[in-house]
Parts: sequence; C-alpha cells; structure tokens
Amino acid sequence: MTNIRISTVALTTFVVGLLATPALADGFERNFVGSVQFDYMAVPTTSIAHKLGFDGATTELSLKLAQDFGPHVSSSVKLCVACHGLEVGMAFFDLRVADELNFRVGRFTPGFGEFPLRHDPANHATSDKPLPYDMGRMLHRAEWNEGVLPSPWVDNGLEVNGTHFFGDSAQVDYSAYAVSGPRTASSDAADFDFIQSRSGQTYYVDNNSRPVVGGRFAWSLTFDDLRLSAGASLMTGTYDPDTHLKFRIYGAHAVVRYGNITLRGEFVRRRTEMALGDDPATRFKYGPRSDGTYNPYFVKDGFYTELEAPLVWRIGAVLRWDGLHRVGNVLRTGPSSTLSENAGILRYTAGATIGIRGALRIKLSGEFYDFRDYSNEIAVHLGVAGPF
Amino acid sequence: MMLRIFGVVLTALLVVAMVDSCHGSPAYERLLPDPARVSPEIQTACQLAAKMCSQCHPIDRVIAIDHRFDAGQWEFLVRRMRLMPSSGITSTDSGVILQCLVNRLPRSDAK
Repeated sequence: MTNIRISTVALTTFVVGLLATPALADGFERNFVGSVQFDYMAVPTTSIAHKLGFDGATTELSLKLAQDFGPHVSSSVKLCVACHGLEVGMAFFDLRVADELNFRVGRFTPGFGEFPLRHDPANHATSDKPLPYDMGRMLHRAEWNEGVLPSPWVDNGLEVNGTHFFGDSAQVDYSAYAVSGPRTASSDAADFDFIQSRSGQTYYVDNNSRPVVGGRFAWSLTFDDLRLSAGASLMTGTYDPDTHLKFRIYGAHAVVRYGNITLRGEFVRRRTEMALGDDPATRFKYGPRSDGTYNPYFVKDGFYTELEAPLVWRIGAVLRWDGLHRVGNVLRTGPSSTLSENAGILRYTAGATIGIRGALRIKLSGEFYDFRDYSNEIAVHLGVAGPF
Repeated sequence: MMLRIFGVVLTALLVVAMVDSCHGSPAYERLLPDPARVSPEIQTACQLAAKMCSQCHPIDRVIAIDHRFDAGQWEFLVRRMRLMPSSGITSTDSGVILQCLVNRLPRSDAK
C-alpha cells in the first residue's frame, strides 16, 4: 500500500511538474511525450492460462521528458508504469562532444540489438515483444525464465556512443558501455534472477563490484526507396555476488526496408555459467557428459523475423516468426526443471494494426506456440495503443 | 505444416504490400492529408519526413504531438532522432524534415 502511495505521489508530481513548467521559461527546449498500451491476452487452448503466463489485461504507460541544455548537453527522464509498478526507464545525461562522440551517464538502456530501440509499445506493431526480448508475456515464461535479454534492459552506468554519415547514403553507429549488469542473489545460481534487477529490496546497485561491458556496431545504407542496415552486439561479464559465474550475450540484426515494407531479423545468443555445487548429481536433472564431468554452461538462443507492411486505409499487417532454443542442464527443482536438455519454442504470429481515431491504434494478433516440451498453445491479443 | 501456412500468408502479404506501395505512402497521407494546402516544397519535405520517421515508429507518434510542439521543440526532437542509431537522417535531411513539421499545416490549423 505504501509503495502504491509513493508511486502515485511520484507520478502525480512528475506530470504536474511538467504541465506547470513552460517550455521556454529558461531558454532551453523541453519535450514531453508518452504512450499507453492496453492489451488483453487470451489463451483459448487452456483453461487457466495464468499457470502458463500473464494472461488477461495489462497496461503499459510511459512518460518521457527530454530537456535540452544547449547544443552539447541534454537529459532524458522516462517513467514507466506496467506489471512491475512504477519504474524509471531512463534518467541520464547526454554530454555530446560531436555526432561521433557522446557520453551518456545515468540510468538507460545500453545499446544492444535492433528491437530495444523500438521497445515502446507505441513503436511496434505487435502487442508483445519478440521471444529473444520477451519480458513477461510469453507462455511458460517461468520455466524459460523469460527470453534471452528482456527488453527494455535498463541499467546504471556509462555509455560512449556516436554516429557518422559517409555522404548521404551510408551511416555507421557504435556504442560501448559499462553497466551494473544482470544479477543473482547468491553464487549458487543457475541463471539470472531478473527480479533482482528491478527490486528495491535489493537496491538498484551493482551486486558484485564488477561492471559488465558491451557494445554495439551497426551500419546502414540508403538507395532511394531501399534501405539496409545490419549490426552486431555484445555484452559480457559476471552476474553473481562473488564474480564466479560468467555470461556472454551476443547477437546480430539486419533490417531491409523497401518503400513501406519492412523486414527485420535478429539473432541473440546467451552463454551462461551455472554453479555446479558440491554434488551436481543431486543438483541437476540430467547426468554428466561422456567424460563424467558436468557442463557448467547452458546456451539460450533466440531469433525473430518480422515483416511489417501497410495494407489499405489505416490498416497495417505484421507477420512474425520467432523462437527460443536452450541447450544445457536444468536444476532438479524449480520451474525450469520441466525443460528438457534441448528445449525449444517456435512461435508464429499474424497481426494487424488498425488506426481508429487520432493516433490511437487497435493491435490485434494471433500466436501459435509450438513447444518442444509442452503442449502447443494459441494466444490471442487485443490491444489499444497510442502515443501522446 | 504451420511453416507452410505461414509461408503462403507471408507471400500473399508481400504481394499485397508491394501492390499497395505503388499507390503512395500511407504515412505521407497521414502526415499531409491535404497536400494542396501547402507548397510543393513542403510536400517534398513531408515525403522525406514520412519516409524517415516511419522507419522506427508509426507516423502517428508525430501527429499525436504536433498540436503542442513549436518550432524550437521540433528542432530539438528532430536532432535527437537524427542521432538515433541507424536513423538515416543526415544533417541536410533534418533541416528538410523540420521544414515539413513546422509548416505542414496552415498556422490556424497548427494550434
């Protein structure tokens, strides 16, 4: 109750503060934008879908304030309210020396992949996110422990980024960062504990005094109506309090846009070290390798391909094919214990967006989940999303 | 089987979308519903704005805020968008896009 009260007061203060502040009172520009998505997910193939994931209604709200302090300094603050309650999705300064050199300090989403740039529900056509970046909306989310890197991944740290144009048709971007990184409560872990990353009970601080580091590089080419971009990303470090458990996430993405048609594809892989413990035979569900040792790593891959195109009037269509694949041992107890050593999901999504009034859009989609370890399921989303 | 169905739907969608793309840009039509009311220069600027902005988000994100943004705020926003990864918006483009966003509606309609 106290948390709800604090959240409400913070949110109200933020909005009232924005509305009460004239844009140009101090000579600097200030922008306030936001978006809302209401979505209802139904799973007609099962009786009580809450056992598989978060069905029913969810609302995602984001409020963003950007403040300009002249040509070289700006700041951004973004508040989000969704399943976790009130969260700060952005609170950073950009200290820009040139287009090619910017220092971002604070709390932000570090550069990784392509989808996280569009993670705001008003920026993508489906109600939920592609499986590699899923955050709480996939079926069997507890067993899978979310996607590969839930989006938006918000963290504290420093990022150096920049962009450079070669003529009018070529552009390269880069980012390199050091952030707190994924966490777990103990060094006896077998995967990330995402609740740790968003829980005030464990503080929004680094859990092991070692930042994780990473970067992203992308290039883009434009030829009249054809635009191509591709890139690669990496994040690596340790995630347990004693810095024994290593992880590495890497990925590649490509986007082709011709006229109004956009085709996107992305692949993300995470290799995560698990604590074997004193007696792996009793800790893990599956036996040792042929040499008698237990593999301390599991590998989780994710991919999506997505085609988006406007059709007629204010109707757009989206087709998405995405999946997850996990190879490695699982604990004998806990939600992941029902996964096989070689687990997989393929998901087929067909959806449409329908502009209704102003900037509001209806998002409608159907998803067929093809699970390797569980019975197949169908999920249907009906949502309304819009920016303001 | 599912993959085959998906392939057929994908092909059909591609064909429809390619045919549709020959009839102009829905994003441009949303951004400038009545092109006759503005100069050819602004029309050209808005074609570029529609093309660039709709790469990363629906053009509705622009339309939703235009009633409360002035020229200075647009300039700040376009600069931020230009610096987004893979924006494709050059310095020259950002000036043209700004021209559209500030002038696409007669002043009496803009507020």
